[in-house]
Amino acid sequence: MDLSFFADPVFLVQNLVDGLSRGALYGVFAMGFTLIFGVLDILNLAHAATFMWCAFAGWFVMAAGGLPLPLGLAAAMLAGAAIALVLELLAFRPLRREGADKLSSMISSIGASLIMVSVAEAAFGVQTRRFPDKVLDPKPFFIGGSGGVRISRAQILILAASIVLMVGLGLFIRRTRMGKAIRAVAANQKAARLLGIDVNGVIVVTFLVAGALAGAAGILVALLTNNIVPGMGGQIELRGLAVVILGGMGNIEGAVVGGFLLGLVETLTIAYLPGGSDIKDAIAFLILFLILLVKPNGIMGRGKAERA
Amino acid sequence: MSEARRRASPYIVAALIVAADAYLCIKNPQDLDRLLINAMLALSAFATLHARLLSLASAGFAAIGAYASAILAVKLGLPVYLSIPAAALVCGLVALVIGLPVLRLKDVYLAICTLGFGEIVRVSIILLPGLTGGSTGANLSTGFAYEAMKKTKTWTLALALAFLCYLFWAASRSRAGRALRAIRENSEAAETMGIDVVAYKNMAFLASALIAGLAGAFYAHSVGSLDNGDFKFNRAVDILGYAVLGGSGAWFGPTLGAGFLTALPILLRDLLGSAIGFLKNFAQLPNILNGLALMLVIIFAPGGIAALFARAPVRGAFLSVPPPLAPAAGITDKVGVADKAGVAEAPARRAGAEGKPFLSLKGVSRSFGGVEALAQVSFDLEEGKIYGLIGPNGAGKTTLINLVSGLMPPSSGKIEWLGREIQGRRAHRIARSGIARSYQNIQLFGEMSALENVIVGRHTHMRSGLAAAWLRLPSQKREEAEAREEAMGLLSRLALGSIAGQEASKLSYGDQRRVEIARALAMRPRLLLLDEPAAGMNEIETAALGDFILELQGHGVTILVVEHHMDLIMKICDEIVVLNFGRKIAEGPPQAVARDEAVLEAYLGRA
Amino acid sequence: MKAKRTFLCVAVFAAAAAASAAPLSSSIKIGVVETLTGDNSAYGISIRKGIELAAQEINASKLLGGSQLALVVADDKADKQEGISVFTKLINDEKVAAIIGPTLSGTAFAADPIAQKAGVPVLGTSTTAVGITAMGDYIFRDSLPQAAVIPGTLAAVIAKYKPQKAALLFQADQEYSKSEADVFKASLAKLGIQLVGSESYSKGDSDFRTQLQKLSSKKPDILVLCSLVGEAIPVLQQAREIGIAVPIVGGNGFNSPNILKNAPEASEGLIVGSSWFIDSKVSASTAFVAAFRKKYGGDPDQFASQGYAGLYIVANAIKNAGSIDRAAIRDALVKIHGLDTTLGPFSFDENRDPICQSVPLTVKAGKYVLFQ
Repeated sequence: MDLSFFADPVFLVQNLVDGLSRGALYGVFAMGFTLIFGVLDILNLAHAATFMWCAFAGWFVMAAGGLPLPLGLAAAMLAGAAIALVLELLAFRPLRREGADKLSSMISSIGASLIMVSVAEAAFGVQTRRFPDKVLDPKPFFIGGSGGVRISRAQILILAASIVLMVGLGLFIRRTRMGKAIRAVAANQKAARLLGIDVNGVIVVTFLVAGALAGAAGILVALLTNNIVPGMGGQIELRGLAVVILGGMGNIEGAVVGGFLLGLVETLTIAYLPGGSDIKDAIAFLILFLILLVKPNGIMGRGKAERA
Repeated sequence: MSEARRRASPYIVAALIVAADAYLCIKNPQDLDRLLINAMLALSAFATLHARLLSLASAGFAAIGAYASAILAVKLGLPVYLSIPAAALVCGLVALVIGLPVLRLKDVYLAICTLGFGEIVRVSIILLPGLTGGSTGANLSTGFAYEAMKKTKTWTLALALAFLCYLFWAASRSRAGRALRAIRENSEAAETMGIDVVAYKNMAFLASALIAGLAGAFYAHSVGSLDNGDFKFNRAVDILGYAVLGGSGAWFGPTLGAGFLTALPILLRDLLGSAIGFLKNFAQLPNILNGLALMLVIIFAPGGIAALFARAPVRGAFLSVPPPLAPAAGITDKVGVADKAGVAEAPARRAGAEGKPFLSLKGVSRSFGGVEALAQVSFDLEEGKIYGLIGPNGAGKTTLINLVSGLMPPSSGKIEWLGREIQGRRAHRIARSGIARSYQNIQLFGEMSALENVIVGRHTHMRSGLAAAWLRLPSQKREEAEAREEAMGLLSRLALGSIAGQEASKLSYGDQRRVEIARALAMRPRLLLLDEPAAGMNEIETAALGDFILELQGHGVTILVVEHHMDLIMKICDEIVVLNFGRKIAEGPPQAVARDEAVLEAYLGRA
Repeated sequence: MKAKRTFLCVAVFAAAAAASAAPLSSSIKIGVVETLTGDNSAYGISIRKGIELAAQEINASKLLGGSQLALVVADDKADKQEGISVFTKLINDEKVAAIIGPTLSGTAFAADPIAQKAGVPVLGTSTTAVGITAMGDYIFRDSLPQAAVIPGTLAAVIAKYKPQKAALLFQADQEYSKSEADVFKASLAKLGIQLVGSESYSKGDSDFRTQLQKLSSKKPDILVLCSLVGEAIPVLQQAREIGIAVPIVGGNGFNSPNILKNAPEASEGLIVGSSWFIDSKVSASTAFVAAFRKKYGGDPDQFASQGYAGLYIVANAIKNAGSIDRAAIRDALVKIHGLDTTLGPFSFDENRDPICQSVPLTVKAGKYVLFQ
């Protein structure tokens, strides 16, 4: 084994950069997931399909329409909010009205996801799309010359966006009236209603925010991976679930931190473990297992994950 | 909708599903295997979902079962009738190992953990190409010849499924089935009835793994080749779909769900295949319709198809209610109160408890985060007396009951029961040793009838296990009949005989309270902890309750009553303990306590 | 005497009747089972387009005289049980004369034995795993196994670049990519090139930079990539993005017009071996490409080409057999020799695998050209 390989500082920093930016993607995706779970106690398995549609929306605006990135991002977030709203009205609210249990809502979202992915397949076809180069120059910067650490504009954007979104969402939840209302509904829907909070309205706002986050995630992922296809939600959904658990259900900061952690674990496994790239998926879940055994609420979670 | 139509509708739905499946199988017998395997996987999901375990591990176990059987049959030359059960056993072993830590997790955490388990299985398959064929799959190119793999006949599969259905049907009518239903409704209450919730959950998980492994093994030998994608994430979600759509309330639910969801895409495919023009080119249409069907069914029947049967007369003989006994003037020996036989029933190890206090609390404290709910509470209970536990709201009374009944351990201090320390022991053990309780906020098994609720109380005094239920032994039937009779007697004594067959959650508040008491009594406890039993009762009912408690004392039951109805407390209690802000501030006979300075201050404030 | 003559007449008549036992009916059903939905549907859809174009032409040109081909298309959803179900339906209900498909080798291993048992010829146009045709004498394919393509490609690469070290990236959980990687590894070893690094990714991954970085640090002389069409583009782009400048040799997934369209710069200089490429000068191919562009408006890929060729092969077999008797078609397929197809002159070998030329290609100025 070539030990200098491990001692190479440039390689190490490179892996940190790649791992954190990969992890940031997971985090942004997971934020929307965990928000809905925190407020409604349901797993919205149509989140990945929403994310995929937003990526396409962004593609239409930027590639076909030729508009610049900020507009594309805005379009994607708007699309996400709209789709999430439709989901709430069609897939979740009817079940809530009937007092159905959380599992039924999850199944409903699965049905919705199936429809959304199939429609995308039928409408867009399965060939790969990507954003044109003028949207964001894919040529990376090499810090310290050509042999140095490589970072691309997309990676910088992703890292920045994840922090901004996390802080912004955190402030929104903690400092605004709507944020307080959301926390109240998350804690106890019945009590919130009795206090005069428009619970359905709060839920709508939650979905709008979660959808917008999905939209942001869609654009960011597409920028980094250059692979927009109807099936793009599948793998990130699994990662998103793991991240939500790692960070603690309903915990926004936890989702981002958990995302970073997962991204780093995956990257470092590939980079330093012999045969690491073959087992990286299993490693990620093994770590999830171990963390859950020791800290069932997740790294930063506060809820009760275990039974008495 | 008219009553008759409403009651018939689930049968119609079920008949339609069965008809659709039968049509498919006649048309294309290959699909019968698919149907049967999916039905088996659905049963596997039912086993865990029924106990409210949101486990998505069935797909992972099916993968293990499939590959295990393939390897045993092809690489080791085992005949299929051995390799299939062996593969199921392998899954059982894995379930035992991972079950204990994993089942501690709640709901969604468990779901995701089990999904992760499936991923780990999938990756392991890829990483062991020598054994499994790796990502190339288990097929001709990796040494798994088709003829060696494709071994099972459909009728074996059907037989296996029918057998499993019988086991589930018989189990649903057994003590274990009732215990699982209780866990499903309210696992905490079930634990305090003496049901070992952890053991039952592990058993459910084990059953789920065995069945999924069996299904996977059958899959391997029905299809004739395998690869790592056969049981991935999507499959786990499909299986969940069967179970939720079919309804996890009854054993036949998920199987119906599997029948519906397997038949639907095939029917759509065949129907649309013969449609002309535009539709023919729209390959995604069946998937879209599938998703739509899923959404519509879950929205209009959120409890699943099985829930539609809840009001249908399918429950039949098992849950039919015997005629109410005439309310007796007094409690007869038969009516399940700790009679002399009950005392003698206590295991011999209690014999050494002579001379030791009945129940003894020594410096018991309990904190929640920074809040001290109980601080250094000590007192003893003597056998045969009625004790009152009073104090302003928030004094820690319910916390104390929770500690004694074992729902949580004290932060410090000791609780001795019959001479042995019980603090920190699991609630079901404490229940079995003779302590029963009722709850301040009613914790009945809502969807079970009042009668069934009380029968659950008989759980620890019954012996029949699953084997007896499966073999339909006369001893099991006798035991069930006796339990029902006793439960009915208890209900009648509490003037609940007429509502015995009604769903517990639909009863009036006062009736629910009394059902809970009857349920606790069914356990034949030596110590009965009643948490605000008179809440919501009027004067007459409260007085009747007081008389009833005195009668219980006459039969040797020691009772601790938490109450706010002072007249009741004063009337029936031999001694009273007063708590305030988590501390004991007074103890003694009612008159003494009523004049105690500290007590007056606590309740009325300083003058 | 009279009896003998009568008997002879009857015998001759009977023989003639027997020989034309299943004459060409006016509508001949051919089953087409491909993956039309889901992740791998890009291939299935492409193959279907090629087959439908071929059917249109065959019917128009009256290749089969008065008979018309009728395609019965079904989606196998890349699911084994669905594949089995669909095959059974086509064989028993639709009574097809032959089946073209399925798309993935995994489905084939489950479904082909059904056809073999029922005596229905199956022609795969995209199944390349080892052992497909070994399933039985009714199973054929026109898709060249990787082992037939890769050594030639590598030989050409060695002749030009004389590499000492190679690095490899492939998809670990997909049988096509994995087996392609295995063939590459074996070929490299045989040709004396040292494999300094081998990394993998799994389904759904879209960020390969870490693996590529690790490979790059080993300083290979050539980089070998085995990907499916979907990942090929990002893999290629990311490889160039992080600064890998050495020649890249791609597996079959890199032979696609999509690569040229979506990664024009990154694909420059890419080397890939194939039995067909879009600028092939084979006459049947140029005609096919023109007709495809006219009917569908886009460029065909290798899968469309193999599908198109596949139907022509089956149709010619039916024509040669002069009957829709499945056994007769099978026998005629075996005898296919030097047939003019988009893949060049086409024959089956004794294992019913294709004998056709594969050539190394490279990308120059946005087009596939022969690699020299």
